[in-house]
Order: sequence, then C-alpha cells, then structure tokens
Amino acid sequence: MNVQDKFQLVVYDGDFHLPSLDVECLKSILYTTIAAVPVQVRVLNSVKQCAFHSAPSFVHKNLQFRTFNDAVLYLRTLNYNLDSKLTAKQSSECLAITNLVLSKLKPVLEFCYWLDQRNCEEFTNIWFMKALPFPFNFVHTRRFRERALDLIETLHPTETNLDCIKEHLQMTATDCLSHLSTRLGSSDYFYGSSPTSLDVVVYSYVAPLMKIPFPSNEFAGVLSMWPNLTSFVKRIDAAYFPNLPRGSKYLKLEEKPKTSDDEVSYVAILILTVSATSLALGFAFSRGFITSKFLR
Amino acid sequence: MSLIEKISIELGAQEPWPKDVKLFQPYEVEQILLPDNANCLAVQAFLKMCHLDYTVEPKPNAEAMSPTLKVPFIKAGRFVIAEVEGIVQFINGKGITLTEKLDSEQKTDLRAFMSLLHNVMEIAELYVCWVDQETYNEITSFRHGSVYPWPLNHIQNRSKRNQVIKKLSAMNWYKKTLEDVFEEVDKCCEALSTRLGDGHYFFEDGPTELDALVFGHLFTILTTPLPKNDLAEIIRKYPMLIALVERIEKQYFKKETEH
Repeated sequence: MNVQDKFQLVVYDGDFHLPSLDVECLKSILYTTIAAVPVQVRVLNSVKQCAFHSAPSFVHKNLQFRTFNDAVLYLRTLNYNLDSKLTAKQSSECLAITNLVLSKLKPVLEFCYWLDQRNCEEFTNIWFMKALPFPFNFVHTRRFRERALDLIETLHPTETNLDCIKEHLQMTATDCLSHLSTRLGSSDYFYGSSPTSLDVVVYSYVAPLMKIPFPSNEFAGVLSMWPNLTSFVKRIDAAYFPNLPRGSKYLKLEEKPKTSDDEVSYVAILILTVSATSLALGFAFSRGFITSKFLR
Repeated sequence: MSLIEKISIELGAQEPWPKDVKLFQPYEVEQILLPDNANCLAVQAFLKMCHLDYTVEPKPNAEAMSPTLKVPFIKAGRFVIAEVEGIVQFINGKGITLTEKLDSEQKTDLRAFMSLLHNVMEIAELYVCWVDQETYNEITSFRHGSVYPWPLNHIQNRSKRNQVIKKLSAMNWYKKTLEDVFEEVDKCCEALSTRLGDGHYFFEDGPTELDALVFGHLFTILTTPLPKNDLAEIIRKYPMLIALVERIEKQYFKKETEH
C-alpha cells in the first residue's frame, strides 16, 4: 500500500481530553477508530492544510468526502460498517434516535460554542484563533459563527432574546438527554456490548458538553443528572482514546480564579479610603475648619 | 416563545376543551403547500384521534397570524398554540393523551420517530417544493403567490424562498442533489415501515401522535400531484405504510362525508 492509498482524515485539533473540538470531526475520528480503519489523522494547523482541505474531510486516493455522513457511506462500501450486526428493526430505531439527537442537541452545542456571548468571547473564539493559522483563523471562526446563527435563527424565527432561546434549548436538551438515558439504561452501549454509529453520534454531542471548560456552561450541570451518560462517555474514552492528554494545549486557563466585577480587592479599598480621608483632612486644614496648635 | 407556551399549557390545563376551537390554515385548494398541508393534516388527525371537536378556518395569511410563523395553529378559548408538538403538549396538559399506556422506552421511540419525520420528511418536502426548479416554477410559485396581487406575489415568493434556502443550508440539505434527497426519504420510509411491521399502529395500544404525523405526511405526498412524483413512488414501495394511511383515513376522515 503506497502513500496515495492511505486513508487520511483532516480534522480540527483536539484539546481538553477530546480528540477534536469540532463535533463533526469528533464523529469521524471516533467512527474510524471504532471501525479500526487504518487512517492517518491530520490536524488542520498549517497554511497548506487549510488551503487544500476543510475539516472534517476524509481523503482516500483521489476521493474526498467533506461530511461525516458521506464518509460513513463510503466506508460502508469498503466493509467498515459498525451497524452490520443490527437487525432491521434496530437499525430503523438507530436512524430515528440519531435524528432525535441531531435535532435536539446540535442547536444546543452550536449555541454553547458560538452564540453564548461569554463562551464565545472568552473561550471558543480565542481557542480557534490560536489553534488555526493566520489568516484562516478569521475565516473559519467567522464561518462557524454565521452557521450557528443561521441555525438558531431558522429554528426560532420569532425570538430575538438569546436568554429565552437558551432556556428553550435547555428544556429540549433535558428532554432529549433523559430519553437517551432511559434508552441506554444500564447497558454498556446502546445496542449490546459493541458500539454502533448511534454511540458515535451520542458521544460526539455529549462529550464536548461534559469536558470543555466553558466559562458559562449550564448544560454541564444538567448532564450530571444522568450518571449513566457520564459513565458512557468515560467508557468510550477508556476503550478508544486512552492516551489523550488532559491539559489544555492552546489556552492557559487561569489558575487563580479571576476576580469578577463585584469583588474588589481589599488593597484597592484601603488606598482609596486613605487618599479620600487625607484629601478631606487636608482641605479642612487649609480652610481652617480644623486647627491644631502644632501646625500654627 | 417557550415562556408563553409554558404559561398557556399550565393555564389551559384548568379549562375543559372549549366548543369553538378553530384550526387556522392556508386555503387548501388554491394555496397550501406540501409541507404545510402535511402538518395541518397531522394536527387534524391527532384531534380526531382524541375525539376533540374543531372547525377548520382557512385564512390566506394564516402563516403570518401564527405565533411561531408556522401553520397550523389552533385557537382554543383564550389560547393560541401553534405547530404539531405545541398542540400535542397543550392537549396533553388538559389530561387528554394518547400515550398514557406507553412505557418510557416506547416514549423515547415515539419522540425519536417524530423527530425523524420532522428532520427528514418535512425537510425533503421543503426541498422539493422550493429548491427543485421544475416544481417551484410550475406549482410552488403560483400557489404561494396566489393570494397576493402582482408585484407583491413575486416579492413574497422570493423572500419565502430565501428563508427556506437559509433553513435548508443550516440543516446541510441545500447542497444535496434531488437523488440524495430521495434516498434520505427512502431510508426514512424504510425505517418507518420496519418499525410498523405488521401492527395496525406504531404502538399496539392504539393510534398516537406519531401515527397522526405519519398519516399527515404520507397522505399529503400520495394525494398531491407534482411534476415529479418520485416521492409518492417511494412511499408506494412500502405497502405497510399505505395500509396504515388507508386505515387512518377510513377510520377518522371518511365519517364526515357519510352524512
């Protein structure tokens, strides 16, 4: 097998114990890992890569697939199929639940990444700006944000208040996660003891919410209500990504908790008090409101 | 939106089903388009399954009247509720439900298949109506523009088409070819047909909102003449689904014509 015949997967870089920070990339990596496709994963971090590929893209010979679904369809023709053991009924259910996850959790993730103002300004935007080379970092982050905004706008055409949308998303996410949790029950994977494409999809949408340290992440709290989902993510981590670094690559997360606006340091208060008092006293002295025999 | 919905569900729960419930939808003969018609029919089927009375109120601007800008919507007493899921929740809030006998796993199934229909069938219908050039030119532009005077009809068509295209690109469907779309629909129908199996309805205990939604979509596709009738051809490959549609039509919609 020469170099040309190898499978290549171009993805956005990973961080925070995730193989990739982008959901679609995450799906492709996990699928190829579970199906044991001999794939070479390349990180989109040089100008050359960015100029020729978009992420995720799956390259084989001279074929290039730009979405997860296309790549999976192609891999199926090469007999890398995770769902081959499912019965017809199971695979129909698998398709349906995949759509449930897509319609309920995808907007939540897009919102969390790009539309929540604090998350986007303090975390996501900075991370992608550092992970991608100039000038592509501007193009990609902008594209991401526009895509997220389009999705949320089409789903909520009458609502302009982001807080209301967030509340609504939280409700649908809770609903969807509780369905997933009941469906998973106490088994290892959704269908018996080996993972299928449904597991790939669920992992890709749940793991980022769990692992990425967003500045404001209400959804992580929601997630901890279902211990079987968190242990499901940990199970896949242990089985397929045992050697991922835990630390953050691009961002120095503040070790000391950042002082927020309503917490003022005591030194500042002391300096202000001293200067204000001395100013007042000085004024009083100069005008002669207070007299002292030592100064006279 | 969510807050208003929540309030109307909670407040509405205290009142019985009012007598003068009106279901607003676009004109069925001249105006309505495939995806809207499917949803309107689904709500009608659901109301009939619950044995609730309603009258259909056709309005040329039903879409603009709706609180979520989507048809159909119902006016029940003091409340206005739109879209299939909202209406189902509102009615469930009154203690009228078709899903009480289902266990939690079956409820997951129900939700999953409903989102499959929303995510695939509805989007495919939108694609065929608005993106496929032939259908757009021959059917959609005339029907959608029929209620507006000249030059407004062109402006409205254009703005609606841009909205739909924006939605489709946000869902990653705009770049698909017509063949891809038909393949997705085929997969969806196959999943539905397998799930249905030999049963009379999707769940043994009787019809649910899922059956109503499937009926709405499939019946509309089967009975709407389009320049490209591939969608109907695809559905005809699944006799189980056809039987379901016929069963629901006979049981809930034929009675009116008798008297």
